Amino acid sequence: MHRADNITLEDLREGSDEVLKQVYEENRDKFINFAKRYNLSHEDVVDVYQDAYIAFYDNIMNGKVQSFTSSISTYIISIGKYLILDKLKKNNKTINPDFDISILRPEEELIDALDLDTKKLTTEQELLRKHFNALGRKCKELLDLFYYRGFTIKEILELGSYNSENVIKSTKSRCLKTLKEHIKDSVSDE
Amino acid sequence: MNKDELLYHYFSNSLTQAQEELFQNLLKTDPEFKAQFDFENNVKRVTKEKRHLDLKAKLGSFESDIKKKNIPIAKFNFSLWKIAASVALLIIAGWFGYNSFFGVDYENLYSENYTKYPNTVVPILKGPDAVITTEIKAFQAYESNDDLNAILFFKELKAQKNPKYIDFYLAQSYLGSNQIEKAITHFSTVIEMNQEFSEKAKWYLALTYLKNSDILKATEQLKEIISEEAYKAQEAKELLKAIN
Repeated sequence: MHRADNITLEDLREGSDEVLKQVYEENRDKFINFAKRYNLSHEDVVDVYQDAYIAFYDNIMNGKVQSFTSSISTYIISIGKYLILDKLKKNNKTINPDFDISILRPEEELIDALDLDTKKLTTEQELLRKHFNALGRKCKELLDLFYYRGFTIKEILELGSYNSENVIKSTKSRCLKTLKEHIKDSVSDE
Repeated sequence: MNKDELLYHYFSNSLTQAQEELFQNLLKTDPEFKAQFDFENNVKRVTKEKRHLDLKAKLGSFESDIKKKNIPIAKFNFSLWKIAASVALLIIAGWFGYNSFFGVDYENLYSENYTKYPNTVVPILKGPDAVITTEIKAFQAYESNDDLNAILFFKELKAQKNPKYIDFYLAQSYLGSNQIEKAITHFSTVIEMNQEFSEKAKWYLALTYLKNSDILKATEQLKEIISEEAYKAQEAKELLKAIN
């Protein structure tokens, strides 16, 4: 097993449980030590760490991080700082005037390039999620590759599960159509 | 370029400058195009949410593994630690020897005894007049065994109204999603604060310890249920017998 510092983007994108666990364990204590200064409960710190880890993973998978310009722990800690700031803002917590706000400011250049949307699902999206989960495995995988990973049709073809770009396009259209119909049916049933 | 192709290039991050302008213009002027864009954008958000929930479940199990490993040894000095380690080794060796011949399958015992506590708090109504509150969303997720979403909504509800049943159902959802430490914390809170579901929480806390293979604490908890003739006392007697 290699150290997290030697883990490549490809290792992370393959997403084996072993690599995910290793990165989780190797950065956890560092993050908890860093977050001690913010007077959050241990449970909250672990929650923020997990959210930061998930946001880091998103940006690896969607291609926003094309190469590492910093270590994995710098990415996760910067995202964590951003999330803590966001959390404090949302909870409307006042910050002691003696507190140096600049230490909360995340490394902006690093953060600006990332997608850190933390909005909850809308009611419409909740309904969509329910019907998405009921789709067949093939549809879920294809829609995940296209929308979550941001793969082009050509890149999906290169993975080898489909015979032609046209088959991928028509399968994707069929999956979206099924999803739309199921939602329409469920709304008209109510 | 037709509208489908424009959407395709948007979602695969390959719009040219000219296409981008056309795309933005259509969003403003063509309601059908805008509706299709919103739909696909929602699909994108949902695929992301699914990834998040899958990963969150994995991280929960990594966290449980870490907590299991972190048995506090800081208070021991080194020689005491060595003695403790030797005793622990003897116990483990003995346990393995015993277990290989007369093994008790705690996971199996847990599965035989565990039934998720039903939603007895709010009826879930369907139909056009149904009001969807955070509480309803939480119990909808809970009833459909979507524990991770149930946790999100229960936490939101705790921050908003903190109803007296909240720790019990949060603990149920943590147990359902294999986040053992958090389940223990919240069941313990219900018992300590003598909240509405405290008797039931004792039974589920015993089961949580069993799932975590913490047999000492599971035994202690079961004995308490039996002596108080509390909820599931008969099942507790049988389970205690099976463990020992």
